[in-house]
Amino acid sequence: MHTKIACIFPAFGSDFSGKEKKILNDNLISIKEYINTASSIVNFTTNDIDQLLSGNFNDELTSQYITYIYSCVISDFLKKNRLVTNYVAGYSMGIYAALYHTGSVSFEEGLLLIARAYKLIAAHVKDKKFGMGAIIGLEYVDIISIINQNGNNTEIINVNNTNSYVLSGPLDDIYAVIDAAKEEGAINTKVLPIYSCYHSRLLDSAALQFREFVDSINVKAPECSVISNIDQREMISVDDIEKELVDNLNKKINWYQTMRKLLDCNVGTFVECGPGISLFKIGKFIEGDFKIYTVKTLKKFLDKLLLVAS
Amino acid sequence: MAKITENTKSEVVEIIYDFFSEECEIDISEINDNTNIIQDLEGDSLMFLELLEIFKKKFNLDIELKTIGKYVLKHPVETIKQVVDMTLLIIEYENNISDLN
Repeated sequence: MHTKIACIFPAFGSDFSGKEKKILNDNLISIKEYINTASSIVNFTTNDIDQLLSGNFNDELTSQYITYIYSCVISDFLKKNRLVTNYVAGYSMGIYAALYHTGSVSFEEGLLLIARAYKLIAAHVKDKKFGMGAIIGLEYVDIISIINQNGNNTEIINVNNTNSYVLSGPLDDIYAVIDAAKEEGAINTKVLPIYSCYHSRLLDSAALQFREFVDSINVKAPECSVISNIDQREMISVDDIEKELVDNLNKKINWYQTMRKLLDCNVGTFVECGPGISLFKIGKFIEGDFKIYTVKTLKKFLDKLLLVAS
Repeated sequence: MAKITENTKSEVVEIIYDFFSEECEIDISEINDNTNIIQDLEGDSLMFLELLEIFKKKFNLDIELKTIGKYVLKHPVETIKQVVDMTLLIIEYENNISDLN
């Protein structure tokens, strides 16, 4: 029987469900204070909270901030309801909220990390055209073959599950690979609305500069194990966390293996702490005896938690 | 090649209607053959993939996803009826669906 609980944190760019504001209201959660704090720390507008919670963003950085803020709000709500987390993992840029949850970084430090990473990446990709894409329904070897024929600078930078992959690279190459994947029989393909090349070796120099900033942050050891999305090691020290923060910029990630590791660690309950249900959807194609709760099923999860506690 | 009986058709229709009703959180009475998966139900391709997995297990089908994908490229699936028809073809022909015009 899988008895452990893991909190998993989505990245920006995931579709909001459209019910994010209602979920906060239904659970009597206020996000205003978090947004006010964020606006005093980073360049973040607070003019229209409803607009922010709708999931319609004008720019990538705002998307990153609001995803992070919403995830931190849910994290605190769960902790107030006495959730004991055994493991944590962050999907791509979800790492910042994951580390907030474990106490490794403060709310403010998480925002500063997002801001600095974004600035370094933006400076690096300036005047160049990069992008990311998603392919569903082809096998890994098929995609590698397509890449070799259509865009050598494109990389598979994430494996969501056995059917779903994320690419990163020069935008022209991404389009070429996506077009070829459609012809090859991919069930779905998408050029993502992201114009950087996250998790790609093309960001090696940005990662080096980010290291300097990470060293200036007072990172603390996590309160529970964090599973690396890069090599699935259990991270329990400050050094582990700092390395992960840096590597998260330019190293490939593997969400499928991260979930497999969590399952091997006896996790049977996952809580997706953030807007949307992207990790829940990805999880449907990962085999195992587990359940993923999302913000939509938060109440059900808390009722179950109370039942177990009693 | 599997034979499609009336029972098979009814079963497929029921599974598909139940699936979209649950996944899209909509009352089953609001779904009909002309319901558009994307526009009316805000569905996505992952749902189609999930349905394929359900039928693959249920009918023990030998199907390669990219074979289905190539067929769908030429025969887009947008409505509930198209999902039903497509599913019945997959059950009947499995990977040989690529031989169909």
